[in-house]
Amino acid sequence: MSTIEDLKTAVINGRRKDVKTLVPELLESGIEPSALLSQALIPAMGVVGERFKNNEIFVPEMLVSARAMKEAMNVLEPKLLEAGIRPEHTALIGTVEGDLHDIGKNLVATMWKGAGFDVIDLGVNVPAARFIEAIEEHKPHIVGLSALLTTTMPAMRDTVAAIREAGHTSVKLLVGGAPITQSYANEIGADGYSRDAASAVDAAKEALGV
Amino acid sequence: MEIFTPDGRRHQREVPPAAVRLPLSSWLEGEHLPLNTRCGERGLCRGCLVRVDGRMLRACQAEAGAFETVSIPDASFRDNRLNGVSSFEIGTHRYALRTRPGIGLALDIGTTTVAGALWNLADGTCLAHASAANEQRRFGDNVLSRIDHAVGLGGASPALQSALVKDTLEPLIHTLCAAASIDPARITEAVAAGNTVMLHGFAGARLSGFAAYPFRPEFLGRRTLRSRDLGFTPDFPVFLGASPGPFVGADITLGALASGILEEDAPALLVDFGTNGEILLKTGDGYLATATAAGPAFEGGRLNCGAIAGKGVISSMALRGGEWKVTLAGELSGRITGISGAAYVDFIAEALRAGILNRMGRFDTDHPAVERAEVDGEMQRCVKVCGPLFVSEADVAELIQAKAAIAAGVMTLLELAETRPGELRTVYIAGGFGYHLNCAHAMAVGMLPDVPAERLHVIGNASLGGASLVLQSDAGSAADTLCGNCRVVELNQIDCFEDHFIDCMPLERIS
Ligand code: B1M
Repeated sequence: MSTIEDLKTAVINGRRKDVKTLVPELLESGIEPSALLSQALIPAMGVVGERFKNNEIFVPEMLVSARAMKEAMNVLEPKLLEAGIRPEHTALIGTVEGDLHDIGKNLVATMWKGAGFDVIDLGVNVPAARFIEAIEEHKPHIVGLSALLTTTMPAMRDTVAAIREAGHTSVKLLVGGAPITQSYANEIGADGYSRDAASAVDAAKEALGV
Repeated sequence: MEIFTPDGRRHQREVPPAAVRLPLSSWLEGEHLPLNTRCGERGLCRGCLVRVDGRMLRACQAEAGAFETVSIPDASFRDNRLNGVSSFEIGTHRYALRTRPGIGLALDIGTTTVAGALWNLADGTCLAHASAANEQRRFGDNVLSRIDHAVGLGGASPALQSALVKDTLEPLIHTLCAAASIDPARITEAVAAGNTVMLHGFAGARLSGFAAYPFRPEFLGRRTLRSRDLGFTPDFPVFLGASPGPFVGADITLGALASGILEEDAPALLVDFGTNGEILLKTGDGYLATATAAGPAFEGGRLNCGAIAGKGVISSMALRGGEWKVTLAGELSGRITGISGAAYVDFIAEALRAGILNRMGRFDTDHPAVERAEVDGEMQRCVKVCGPLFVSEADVAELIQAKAAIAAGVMTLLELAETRPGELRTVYIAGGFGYHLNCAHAMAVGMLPDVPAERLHVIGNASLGGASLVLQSDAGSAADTLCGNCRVVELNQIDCFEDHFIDCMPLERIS
């Protein structure tokens, strides 16, 4: 019989197909969805993030693990919602207006889910107004902005300014993406910057003080 | 100021009071000591790192007046001997040749390099061909930085146009004419291929429409301009090829004409391994085209020892008895200066085979060839190739992203056309590799899906070939027909692209 440990290992190793069969199997055996999340998926992504930071794995492996994690979450999320289980912290994430890159942003979103956050993904090409609307609707603790193009860096700056101007001064704004640097993040008034998806988890935790 | 260049020379220059507050990189540029200001002097990249008082700093973020002594490391020195690929071949075609008196100029305007060929239109002989670096590079190594620069000036940038026309194409034309012993005034017409952004910059059109989605270029269809209006001294008509979409340019349409894919049985594929990674798939009922934004890695960009194949650059390598045997592009005079994209592919394939590298792009730390060295202030695993040249794990990671982008673009188009890779009848490989690419290695590392070797054709600079063909025949209208028959696929709107991108990351065969 399969165990929670098997699921954790399958996610770490990015074996999406195994995950696809393991999740329903474990649920059927009577394990709670929340237990799968807290005992398999969250620890698995913790291991992945740790290994990445220690230079033991690189982006390709991380993408593969995240994809396996996503596979599991696709099944679990509706069930968790049904059971009325909501994570303590909510995060909003999106790629800024004019920018269509989302592979890196999706990775950050999955790592945040893997850290136990409720993540609302607004997708790509998200105008500042849409971010503000979603902030008002979901009342997130953190908002992640991603930009991959030099030409959409100004949109990131504008989005940060617009969110602040709309009066959302306490929500933590975290930014990232290949052309973004710590000094740019400081310059535009973001609360945090991270250069990869693993440190995005640390940045989020730090911003939340957890 | 005392400036040391990588060739070991010492240059003594005075910084005039007016230049004291200029960015060090801008001032050096004016002193003909240009740096690799890849991000367009925004302080975002490491292309302009110089050594001052034993530490490295970004020259674009420092003032020229602040230093007594500066030394420019090899990686930061912008090599003006940079060569592109001007070799090409024109496949069998069905166009009627239009012989007439005159001298024709074919141009391929690439983001990184430009290439040209001079033709005697009376008898269809090639009088000269050559290539050079695109001097717009000083505004950034990718199109976005240049667009950004133009947008900052309200949309169009005279400086960008003049960097292309005055600093790049005019010298290239003079080189071509000198080689052919022809007076430039005798040129009667020109055909230019190139990506949409380059053609806009060439025509002096506004680049604002490329800055963010949704893209609204000023023109896509073919155009005829006068060279005098572009800033050239001799006056002749300049024909710009048609582009299928905002980021799928005339380089791929004209490249298609030269490759012979139009005459080939479907399914057939044309892949341009350039910064933009354009792909054209011929299906049973038309064409699918896309751009994968692979980045400049295959042209040596963003790699520690990367260079475009030219004099002193390694064009291929093989691991023999634990030693790297390297072949150079052109004969060696002086030092070996860099590793070309094609040679990096050799490196990866050979290192994989020898177990130095694993399929995820990591070096085996227990292997004797692997050492730890400081690169850009960080400790990295590296493998020495020869002399000071090495490949680091970060270089491999950069190449993996680029190859995954192209392979995923190919797999996505194939999926849309419900075609398996093995069904491809012909695969044409064009672009910066020139003729150096080892196709067996390319397939072994999963840059391209596996197809039998006899179906692969490396065709060099196909867009220069296409521009030449249009110059000499009635092929121009076929390019228009191709654009009309071609569906441009926006990869970000196709869900399976991300999946393919992840699947194509490991260094292994794709089938
Ligand atoms: C909230 O907090 C955070 C914290 C950390 C965050 C974060 C947020 N967001 C990201 N991070 C960080 O964590 C992640 C994991 O460690 C990292 O994310 P990354 O996204 O960096 O890494 C991902 C895991 C994997 N990497 C990627 O996903 C990007 C890979 C490359 C190849 C790339 C791809 C795949 C694509 N592209 Co585009 N593309 C390129 C890229 C070239 C390269 N070699 O890097 C790049 C980014 N593209 C570029 C360009 C020019 C373009 N692209 C375009 C389009 C595309 C595709 C659609 C083909 C595709 C995107 C598909 C998709 N669904 O995302 C166009 C623009 C479209 C638009 N308006 O957005 C187009 C304009 C060109 C075109 N040919 O169409 C270049 C940008 C140059 C620049 N300096 O601005 C580019 C560097 C390639 C190049 N030419 O050099 C970190 O940055």
